[in-house]
Amino acid sequence: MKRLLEDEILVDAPRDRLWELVDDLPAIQRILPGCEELEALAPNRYRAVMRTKIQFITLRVQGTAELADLHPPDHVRLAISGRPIGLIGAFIVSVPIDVTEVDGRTRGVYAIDLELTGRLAAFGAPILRATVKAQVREMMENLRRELLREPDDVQEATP
Amino acid sequence: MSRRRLERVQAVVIGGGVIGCAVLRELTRRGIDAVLLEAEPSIGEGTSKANSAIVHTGFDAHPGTTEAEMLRRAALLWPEVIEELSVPFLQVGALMLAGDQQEAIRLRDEVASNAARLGVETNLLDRDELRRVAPYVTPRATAALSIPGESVIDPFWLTRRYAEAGIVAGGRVLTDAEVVRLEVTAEQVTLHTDGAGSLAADQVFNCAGLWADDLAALAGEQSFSLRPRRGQFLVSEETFGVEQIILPLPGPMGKGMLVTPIIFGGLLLGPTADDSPDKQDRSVNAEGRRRILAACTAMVPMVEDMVPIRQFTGLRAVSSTGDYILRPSTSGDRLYHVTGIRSTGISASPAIAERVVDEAATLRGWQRRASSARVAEPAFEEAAGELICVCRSVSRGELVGAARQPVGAVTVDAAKRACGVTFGDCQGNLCTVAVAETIAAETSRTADGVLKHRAGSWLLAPGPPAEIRGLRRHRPPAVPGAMDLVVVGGGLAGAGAALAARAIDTRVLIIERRQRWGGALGNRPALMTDEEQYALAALENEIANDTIAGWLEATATGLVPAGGGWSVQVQTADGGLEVTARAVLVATGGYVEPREHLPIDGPRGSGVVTSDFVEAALDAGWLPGRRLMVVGHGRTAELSTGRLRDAGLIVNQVDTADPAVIAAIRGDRRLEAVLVNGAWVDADTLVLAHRLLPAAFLLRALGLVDGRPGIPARSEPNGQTELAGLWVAGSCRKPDVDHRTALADGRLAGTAVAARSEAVR
Repeated sequence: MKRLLEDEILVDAPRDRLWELVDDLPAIQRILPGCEELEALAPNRYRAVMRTKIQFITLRVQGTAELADLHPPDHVRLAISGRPIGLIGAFIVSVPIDVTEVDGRTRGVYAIDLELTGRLAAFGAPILRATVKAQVREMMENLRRELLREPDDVQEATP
Repeated sequence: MSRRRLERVQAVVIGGGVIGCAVLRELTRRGIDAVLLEAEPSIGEGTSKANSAIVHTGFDAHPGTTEAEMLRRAALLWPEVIEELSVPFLQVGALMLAGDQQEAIRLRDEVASNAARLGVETNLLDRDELRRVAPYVTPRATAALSIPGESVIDPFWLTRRYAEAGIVAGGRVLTDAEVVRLEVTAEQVTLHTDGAGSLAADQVFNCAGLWADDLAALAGEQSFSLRPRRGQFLVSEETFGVEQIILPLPGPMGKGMLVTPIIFGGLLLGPTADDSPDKQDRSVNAEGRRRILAACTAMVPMVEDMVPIRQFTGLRAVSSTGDYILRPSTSGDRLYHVTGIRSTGISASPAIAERVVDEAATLRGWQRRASSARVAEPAFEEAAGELICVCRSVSRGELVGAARQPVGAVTVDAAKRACGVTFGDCQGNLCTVAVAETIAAETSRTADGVLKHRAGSWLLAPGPPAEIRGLRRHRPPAVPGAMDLVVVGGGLAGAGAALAARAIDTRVLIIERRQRWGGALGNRPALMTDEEQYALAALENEIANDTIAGWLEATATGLVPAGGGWSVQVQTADGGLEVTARAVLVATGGYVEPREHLPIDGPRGSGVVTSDFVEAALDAGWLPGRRLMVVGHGRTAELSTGRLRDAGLIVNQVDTADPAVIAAIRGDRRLEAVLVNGAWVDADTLVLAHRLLPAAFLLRALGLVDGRPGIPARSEPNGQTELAGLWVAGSCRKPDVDHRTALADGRLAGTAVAARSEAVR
């Protein structure tokens, strides 16, 4: 897998809040960008349908999302793999996150590793790399929003 | 087919390049009834398909020129264009290098200050700053000017999307419609075409690119002339880490040679700049290749190791006025010239379209009526179907989608520009027949009616009955449980590997993209040794007895490490599936080195193919040509020559492994003659069969080969790669145009992998 970038996120919320989200299916769906459907297949493993805009096209992707390498409260890895509908090829995105708490705030240091096959690999690394980076950053912002969300807000937002 | 009626429209645009298509969009956005006429079978066949694919900021334009004004205006319009048309666009930035102190001063005092006058942001970088942002540039560069706003775009996509936006808003695009007569009066312009009848228009826009002066002459105007400036380019799949546009200080002939990232991956190098009197001359030559490599290596030294997959020539229209010509004709203001746009047509296209339609609207009293029609984003909702293009992983579904767009892909090159098919290492020799057949099915024709690009560039001729067509389709059975070994490729190496592994009780699945086993020689058992024939018969017997699982018409599209073994992604006509295995052995063979990789002087018409193309054509019941020359060696050449002679064709065979015997070719649209061993020989088809390159596309994503063609996969003598459980055999690692070593190499690797599999079981 190729490493695209390393970055970090700092959220004004306690670290325990992150681990509460691990079992919260609607919250995970809100965190995953463009996630249209999310269904639990097994503990920490989900079937997902996502819609992803790659600047000039929008792809619908069927795949799985998994919370792997769970070592609460210090580490989790989000692994998303799937195939775009209508195109040949597949992708695997792996986002390992090291979590620490600093003065009551949560600090997540993360990386993005990407593997592409088939048409996605041929589609052009520059544009796909830019898209994946943007998507993971959007995901981190979604995560920030979820961490800052009051329990009542979560209740209201849950269908 | 002539339509003999005089249709009246508000506006006609002549020329389906990026400018003409942008004007069509602008007209239809304002509710103007507009028709675009294109002389060729497909839009974008001129300068718009052969350029640097850069959206310039205009930092080096001459202040006070129309070009500078248009580039500045376009910079404001681009965000809307990209958003509305969904065009691939990436702001990568550019670095203009200085090689010494004197050049560094020129960067600061001439280029940077000019950019500042034009309002374009630039930043001067010293040597250290340059090394930090672009460590791949030559250490001899002492400074650079960074132009962060420079961007790359897909010019094919842009041209097509402009046209599609015009069609969606009510405009029409008529192809094969060359304007042959033009009458301009105070009331209208009457146009007579060769192919689309006659039209009368309130306003005509002359966007005929290099031929705009010829078109003006049809109206009796001689006020300007255009001459072509030939620019040759090289394409590399390997990027060498280059992420920005790298360019030298400009010279009198323009910006000089650039190293440019291609938005869909790879690098574009060039262009040369040579004035030429011939508007048809899109030939390439070894001298151009040498000059490009020398100039680009001076900026990015690693480029020296490049193996180009393609060389092409674009013709830029240089006007006698030295600037854009955007004005009414001297023959009457109902004809409006939009020409002389030398090399910044893409960059300035939205502003040019806006300007000329504004002025025409004033002249004609058109009221501004905004159209709300919006071109839909391309969707990939169709089933992918089987893999057509092995190099670029393009599916039949994607190709069908390209053919069904508002500006449908009706030629092979149009399909290439729409979805990337035929764009990869083999340059279409493996897949063009399937592409032509798919286009034919979508356009109610037969494949012999599908052209490569322009009129006359035929690809296939009617032939004997298909040798393969009509056989039972092999459907993959249900996905089995985890296998011990998946062999990818059912040629001699794959057969040898599967049999050897099976012999030591290994559960083997072998998959093959063709409809038959045996690889390149599978169609001609007479060329095989007794041992090879026996091995193939044994493989078919094992498959028939279910002791080896075998899938035909199944293509591996990806290998992913999974659970200590491998997941093999496989594509069939019915869709994608995955098989897991302890080990994978890649025996995907090779492809014959195409002309595009070679320094053969001459144009780029159809009819220059490899033996891979010949096999695909004959398999499907088509002839690849009528007067053929086969240049090659070993059993690959024997195979093509033999099958072509069996089809009743006269074949001139040159037995050599050295393609340098071909000095040049002739024929703009279809091959006419080959200069071989110093003499011109008439031929409409040149078949290369001289050298095999490894078809190791699957291994690129894994880093076992880089983006350069012809690089064999790294492996131990027994085929083991540095990745656990991944093996290679045959031409993937030992390309052999004679295929003599394939079976033995497969056996060696199959035995080794099975022994290893036993050990870990």
